[in-house]
Amino acid sequence: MRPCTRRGFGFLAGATCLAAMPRAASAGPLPRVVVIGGGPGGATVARYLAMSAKPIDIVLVEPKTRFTTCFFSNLYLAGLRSFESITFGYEVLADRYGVKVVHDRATEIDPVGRTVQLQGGARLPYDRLVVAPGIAFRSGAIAGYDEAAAEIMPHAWMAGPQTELLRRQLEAMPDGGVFTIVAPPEPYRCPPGPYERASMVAAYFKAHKPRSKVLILDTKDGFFEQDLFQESWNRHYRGMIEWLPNQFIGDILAVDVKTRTIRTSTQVFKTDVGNIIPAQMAASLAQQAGLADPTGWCPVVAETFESKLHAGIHLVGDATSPGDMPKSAFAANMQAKACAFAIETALTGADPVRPFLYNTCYTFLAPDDAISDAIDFKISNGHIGIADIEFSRMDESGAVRAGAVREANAWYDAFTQDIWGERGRS
Amino acid sequence: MSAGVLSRLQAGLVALCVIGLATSSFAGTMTREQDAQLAAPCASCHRADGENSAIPVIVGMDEGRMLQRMAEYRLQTRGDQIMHVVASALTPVETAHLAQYFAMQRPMAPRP
Repeated sequence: MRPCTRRGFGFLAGATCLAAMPRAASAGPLPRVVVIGGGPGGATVARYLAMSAKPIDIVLVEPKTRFTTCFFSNLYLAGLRSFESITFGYEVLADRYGVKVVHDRATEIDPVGRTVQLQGGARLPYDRLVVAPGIAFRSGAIAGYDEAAAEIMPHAWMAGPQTELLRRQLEAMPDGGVFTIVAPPEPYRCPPGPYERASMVAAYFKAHKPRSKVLILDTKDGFFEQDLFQESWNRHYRGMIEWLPNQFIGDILAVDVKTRTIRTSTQVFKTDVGNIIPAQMAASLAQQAGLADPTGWCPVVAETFESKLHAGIHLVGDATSPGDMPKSAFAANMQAKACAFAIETALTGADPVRPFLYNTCYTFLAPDDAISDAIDFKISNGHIGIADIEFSRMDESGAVRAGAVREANAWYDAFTQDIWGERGRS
Repeated sequence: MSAGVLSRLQAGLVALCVIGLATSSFAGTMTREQDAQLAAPCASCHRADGENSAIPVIVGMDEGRMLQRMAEYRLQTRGDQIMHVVASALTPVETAHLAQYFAMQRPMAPRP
């Protein structure tokens, strides 16, 4: 199918192909944008650039042919969703939006020559580069926890085979067993994620292995939406989830996958299934390319998401340090739109509107109980700060929470369609 | 008259004022391209294909109805914490442009 992507012929997508002009019709070589990373940040940039008013040549570099979302992967762990329903391909971006999708790994960026080297040998020139590489774990953060150890005590914090491995371990665990989550220090991908995971695994235990327990060993002394979580744990899973903060257990020092033990500065914990989520930083490509600062994250200009360290290179998503925005898929998707419009302006001279930066998050506490939060961010003196924030309340009725579950599922369909152009198969 | 009726009336008045703004010269200050950029954040939650779900379809929504709804969210006469944040973040001119824009849109084609 011919790309049909000119904006203005339909709601954002311009899906009515009749009116679309073939790209080759414009005079001269098209400006080229290379996007590295096909997750929520990178794929959104590619899709929105494809919908720009003037044609842009877009290349999306992503090693995987199928992408599984971290968000909603806790529902898969609970047995509430299939793996297929949280997994997406790139066919619609390629066929309908005309994005050139290259399934390869970017190994090197030359910011002066403006090229990207691929593992397969190709070197891609670019006018603008977008890097959306996601996260890496800080090596040595927990002694004994390396890639081999992660095959025995998974992190399942980059959705895919690790998530499936953790689900198999939960299924194989005998009733009466202990599932232990090591929760990471700030900043990390998905602030409510470890605690939603505790809730969802407890929901699975409650239904199938009611004598089992969830233990959270935390590197912190508090966490996001703590009051809402703890109130719901008492209500849904009394006595099943135990949260131990850093002030009780000390620092997480080491894991031993052979004995399935986790050692802190004061105690040793033995577990049946271990889920170790280590401290994080921007993925290795961003570090190698000099896009990260000493914090391990990538500083960006608030309005355009252009790197503060290399001109012509933009970054979106979890690898960045975008002021007060959390590391969430929703934030990445919002940043991606602001970034795509900034690039469109730079390459084609389009007039931009102000950037809109929101975060919305749905969190599952039980199969019929979800909460949400919403944040509006405003840019002031180059800093992205919180302008307004609202949360679900403690005293909400069961009907309100069940309504949030339906809304969350509807949101997932809309959101993934906004990223990859296709709907999930639930 | 109950407080609820009063606040619904207020919301209606605000909506009417915004409709007034939208039909004034303000509406001409943004291009179609800019309107599309303004509308882009909405697509993160509202389905572009117009299929019904627990989140309302806004593609093709009547302009006056959208202005009314946005005023209600802003004034919290219609409860929804997410839409309260979103509606409060927009200026009256931006809201008017969104209402005009979505009223003219048609659903994105379904997946091939």
